[in-house]
Amino acid sequence: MMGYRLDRLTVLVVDDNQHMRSLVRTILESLGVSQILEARDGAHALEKMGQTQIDLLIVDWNMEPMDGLALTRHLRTSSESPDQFVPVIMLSGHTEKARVMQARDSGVTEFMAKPVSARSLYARIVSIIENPRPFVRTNDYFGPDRRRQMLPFDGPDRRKAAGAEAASKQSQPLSGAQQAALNRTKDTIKSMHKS
Amino acid sequence: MSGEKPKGAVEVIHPPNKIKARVGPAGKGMDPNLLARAEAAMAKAQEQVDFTVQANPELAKAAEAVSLLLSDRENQAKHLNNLFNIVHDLRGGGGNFGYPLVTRIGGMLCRYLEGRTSVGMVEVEVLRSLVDAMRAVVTNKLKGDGGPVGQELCASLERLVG
Repeated sequence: MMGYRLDRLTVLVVDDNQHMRSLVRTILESLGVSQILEARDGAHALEKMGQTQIDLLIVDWNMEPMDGLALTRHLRTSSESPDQFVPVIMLSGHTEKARVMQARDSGVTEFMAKPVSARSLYARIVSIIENPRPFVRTNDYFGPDRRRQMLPFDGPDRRKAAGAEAASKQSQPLSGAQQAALNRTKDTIKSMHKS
Repeated sequence: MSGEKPKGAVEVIHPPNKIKARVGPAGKGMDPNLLARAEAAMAKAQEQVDFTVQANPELAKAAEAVSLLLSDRENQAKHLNNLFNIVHDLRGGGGNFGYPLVTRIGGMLCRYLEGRTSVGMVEVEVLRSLVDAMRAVVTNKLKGDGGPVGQELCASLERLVG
């Protein structure tokens, strides 16, 4: 079967963790991508984008000094953006619905929860090729149309709004069952260190 | 490009599909052979990484952040944020490098922290248990599902954090 010529793509992988960059690079290389650039944070990514035309970014959320959200917002809305429409796949350890929505609101094209798998990354690349999303501009947003659902994320769906969680999280004493669980946890850890 | 829009106005833009133009029209969906090749290469690469080398110093920082929650209460929000970021990264890496229990426990910790800007003694004790549990998993190299001990540990932690 004749597939997409992924070897023609230039992909920028942005992650502060070298092992994760290396893992994503391995997947991309196996899929045939030959031009793979790496950056350690958002600012470094912008520097790379100033030098090379990038077709697709794969971006971690958590990085210093410029994280993946700030990078995506910059790409979508800054007058100095090298490409407002470049597809961005965001990788994150976050799986909570509220966090996925936060990423979506920054203008990412696809969201992907870690752990990364070859299948989920490949699926998102194919989705970007085959189902490009229109961009929308409103008074407070510019980016891919958020009305189209992003591909399902891989982690458990914790459908809790951050606000609702905050309201419910007051400091309170442990229940009897929780105290028993705490004691059990400590005992298990102790036994692990002994063995 | 344009000035202030009337409230509720939406401009829809259909940018050229540059990536499709680049990869050509020939494909359709995922190529199963290519996927199998990528999965095999990924599995090989994962085996070569010793996650404990990166996890140990990060877990030490997490334990330090938990201690500071009580010894430096004025800056609790900063320490909570720091703890969240450290654990978020461990949670992301654990599952990819053979330690899904770190991802599972890290997930519990991140959810427990979600929405909290200050904590008391009880919460600090819970957080300490979660960090200690991740350290025990890494120290004892409890890979995969961790066997009965790993499962028991996770079950009691889940009862603890609800």
